[in-house]
Amino acid sequence: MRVRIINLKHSYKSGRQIIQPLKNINLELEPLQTHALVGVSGAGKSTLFHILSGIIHPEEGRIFYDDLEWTALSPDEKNHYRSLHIGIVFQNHLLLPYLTAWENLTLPLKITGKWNASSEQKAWDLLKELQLQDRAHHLASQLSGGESQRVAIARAVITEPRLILADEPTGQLDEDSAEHTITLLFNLSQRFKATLFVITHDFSIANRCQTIWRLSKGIVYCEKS
Amino acid sequence: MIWVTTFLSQVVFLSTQFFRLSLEEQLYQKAQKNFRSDITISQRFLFSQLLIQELARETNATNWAEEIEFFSMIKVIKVKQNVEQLVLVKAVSSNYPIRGIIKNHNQEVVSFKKDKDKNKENKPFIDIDSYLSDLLGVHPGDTLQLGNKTFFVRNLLPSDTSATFRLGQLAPLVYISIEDLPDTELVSQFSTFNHNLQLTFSHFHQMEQAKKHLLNRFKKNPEISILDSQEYGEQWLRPARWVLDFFSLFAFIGFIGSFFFLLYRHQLFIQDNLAQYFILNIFGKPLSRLAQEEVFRFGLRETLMLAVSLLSSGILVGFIQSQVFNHFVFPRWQSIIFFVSLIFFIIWLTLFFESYQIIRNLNLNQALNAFQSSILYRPALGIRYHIVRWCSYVILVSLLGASLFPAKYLWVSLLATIGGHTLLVVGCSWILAHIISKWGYQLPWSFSLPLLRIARSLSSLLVKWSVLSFMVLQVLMVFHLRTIFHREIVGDPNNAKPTVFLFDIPEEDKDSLLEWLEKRGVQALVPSPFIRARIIRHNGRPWEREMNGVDVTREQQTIQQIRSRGLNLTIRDQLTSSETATAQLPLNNFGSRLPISLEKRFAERMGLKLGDQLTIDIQNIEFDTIVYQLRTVRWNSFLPNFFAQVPSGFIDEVPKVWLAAAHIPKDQLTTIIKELRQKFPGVSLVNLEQIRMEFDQLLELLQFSFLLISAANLIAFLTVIVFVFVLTFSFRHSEWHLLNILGISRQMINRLQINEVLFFLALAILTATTFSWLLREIVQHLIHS
Repeated sequence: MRVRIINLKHSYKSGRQIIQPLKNINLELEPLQTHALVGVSGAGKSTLFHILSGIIHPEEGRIFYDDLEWTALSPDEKNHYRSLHIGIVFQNHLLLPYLTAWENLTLPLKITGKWNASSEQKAWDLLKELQLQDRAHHLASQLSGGESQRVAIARAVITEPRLILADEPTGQLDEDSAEHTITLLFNLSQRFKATLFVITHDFSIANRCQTIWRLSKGIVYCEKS
Repeated sequence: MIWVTTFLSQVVFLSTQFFRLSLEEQLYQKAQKNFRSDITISQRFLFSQLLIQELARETNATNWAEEIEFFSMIKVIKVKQNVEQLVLVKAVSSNYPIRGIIKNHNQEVVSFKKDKDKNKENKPFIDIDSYLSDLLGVHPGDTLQLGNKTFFVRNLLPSDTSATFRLGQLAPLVYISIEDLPDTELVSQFSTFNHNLQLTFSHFHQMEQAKKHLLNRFKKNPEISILDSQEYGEQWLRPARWVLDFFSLFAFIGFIGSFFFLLYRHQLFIQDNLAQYFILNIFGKPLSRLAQEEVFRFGLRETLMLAVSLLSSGILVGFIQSQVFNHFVFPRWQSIIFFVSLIFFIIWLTLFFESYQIIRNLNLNQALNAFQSSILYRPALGIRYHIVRWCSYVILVSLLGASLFPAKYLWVSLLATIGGHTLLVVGCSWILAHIISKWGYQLPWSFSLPLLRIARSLSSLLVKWSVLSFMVLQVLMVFHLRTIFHREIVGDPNNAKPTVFLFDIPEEDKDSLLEWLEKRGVQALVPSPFIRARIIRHNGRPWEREMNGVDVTREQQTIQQIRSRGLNLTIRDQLTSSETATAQLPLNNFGSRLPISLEKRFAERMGLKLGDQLTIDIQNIEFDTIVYQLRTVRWNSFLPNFFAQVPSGFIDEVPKVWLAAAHIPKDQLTTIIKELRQKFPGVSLVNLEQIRMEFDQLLELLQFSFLLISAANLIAFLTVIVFVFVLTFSFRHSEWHLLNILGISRQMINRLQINEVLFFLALAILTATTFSWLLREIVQHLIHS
């Protein structure tokens, strides 16, 4: 999926102060490539992530996913499109604690109506690949941080999205788990032919990406291409 | 929010408790109005004056009185002789039985005038029923001869002395002053009499203590019986107490809920201050010192809150009481303060201990890494903490229970009630949770998500389900209880119950009375002979009547009283509509033994079985009997029913009186009672309609009170529900976001929430309806039996 952001502006209130982290964002993500967005804390990376994932609506500017104008969609249309074409990985895994690993993984299939025998087999294969087959029926609250994040990544790709958005996916993991998890993320995005957009401040992760974008003082520029 | 919730729960709990106790006092006062004294000690011989004074002193009675009841009726005949304008009525024999009472107090007398002529005449005084006065033509100043003694008629009693009982018209009474007892020689003339010492107390709990003391003092003395007004008024008070305790149960649950809020708030309190502990510890303040300071701070805040709760409860109860009773009643305040203080002392103590343990043993390195995590507490809490906390819970629950349900059998019953409901909720939720966990995900996600959410957060499920089902249960029970009591007492309007109960019908008056009633279109129901008997031997061994000590339960006390009393016996060949035989031996081959049928519960209480041999004494003649039948009796049919009955042809000739019930239409009731009294003055009559009216009034009062208590309880439950939602809101908020990200629309998220609530409500209503039905059956059975 090709992503184009044109003249994106956004501000929010913090107490009495108005903060404008995104002043004029213009960028284009090439399809099937891996992209990283880096920047200091408070630069507006997460705000951009939330806008791209449709959690918040920008004040100004346009976003295109291929030829579809994302910013012109209603919340429900965004919701529908996202469930079919965008996979999202959060810094905190955000698994539903009352569902098992298996149920968390397969929930998007059920919600999008893609639940059938072949998708179930695919989910099992994915779980085996993640080395989580023994933990399939454990509740999310019983999984370790690394296991939870792997399930969250699998959940993001299970519907075979064309765009994967990941916000600090290894932010809360130790070094070994982080390495394992990020490798998984890259492999899966490659296998499912998705554009990967990772927000991070870890340069070892950013350096794995084909393109690195830096967000600074409300604008984005390409640091490595 | 947490503060408000805890505060509200405390206020509601305390208010309900205070109000419940004041209601109990109201009921006690009502019982006092209907019965002459709090405790009556009776024996078949005279108490010495020294003993009477001793007992009054030992029990701290505020007042005492003694009376001697003649159980053998005095036969009086009116023989008028004009002697200096006085009428002498000589008592030799008559158709008029009179219940005689010799007493030393005169509260029933309308106007009591000391007759100056007493010394002149040198005759003992007598007060007579004004109805008897009309009947005999005797007036104050006349002379009346009873037995061998002549009495000077001093005053007339109100025409309906028995109305103080509000039961109906009993046989006419004569009262003789106890000062004149030595002059009368009446005691020596009558073989059957009881000397009653009546003790009165200013408070309910004093009566309870006095009764324990008396039971202890007179244990194993078969000749002395101790009855309290509660025993007399059991029929009135038992259902009321049941309902009061039932509603208190909800307050109890509310309070337990508030206790858990308190624990949670306590954790938050410490959590909020972790940063402060860390900084202070870094700069050299030892954790043990910090712990002491925090314990003090926490204790101060909570104690202040308790004080405000108590004050608010007092104001609230004062207001409700002023609305309901028009005056303020605050009984047993020492007990309340004691219990409440003790309960809260235990709570504070536990929390202080907890604070101290947590802060003192906090791992600050972990605190630094995961500041807001409750995992921090776990390493800080050792086994000692868990033991102390567990013990304090046990003590707390026991104390609360003891303060709620003082009567031993109610305690058991109500524990069974709450236990049953809890078991039902916990059991069902566990099974449901298991089923849903295993199979729930197969359902469409719009059902499976809320179901799994509920099933896999069992504690949340339990809290919400319990609270909702208790709310529904309470609402349902208000209606159920009202129906039960009304049906039990007033009866089915299509199957009208008797309105009068006639007793003490002399053998010679029986036929004429029945005929007289029939002429007025009133059919006497189940006229039955009444014979007093005493069990002498059981299977060849002497019958034991001993009273045990104070450790006996209410049921055991009742059994002992029944054992020591006589046996009410009738002659009856066929069971009535209110009786059902449950076991029977063939009615032959008993030889010379008299076959006897026993009421089942009576037999169980007395330890008697089918085929047992009993020797009974009727008027000093012994009869050997064999238990050939056990039967259940519906006592609230208000028909003449007896513990024991024998077929006709065995003891037909023994002296007896008759009992009967009758259904007199309401519009004729007053007229017929009045006529009956004139025509048959010796017949005692209980106006059942009057009792029902009294009970209905009581029900009205209770119903209003229950509504108030229910409202308070519902507020407490609502605070619990709100609290649960407030606690889980932040999590739910992020959950909704996540579901939205995963593709669930806002409308669907709303539907998920509604599904969850509907599922809860359905479960709660189902549970509550089932349990309220079960409870209704239990209550009905208990009241019935």
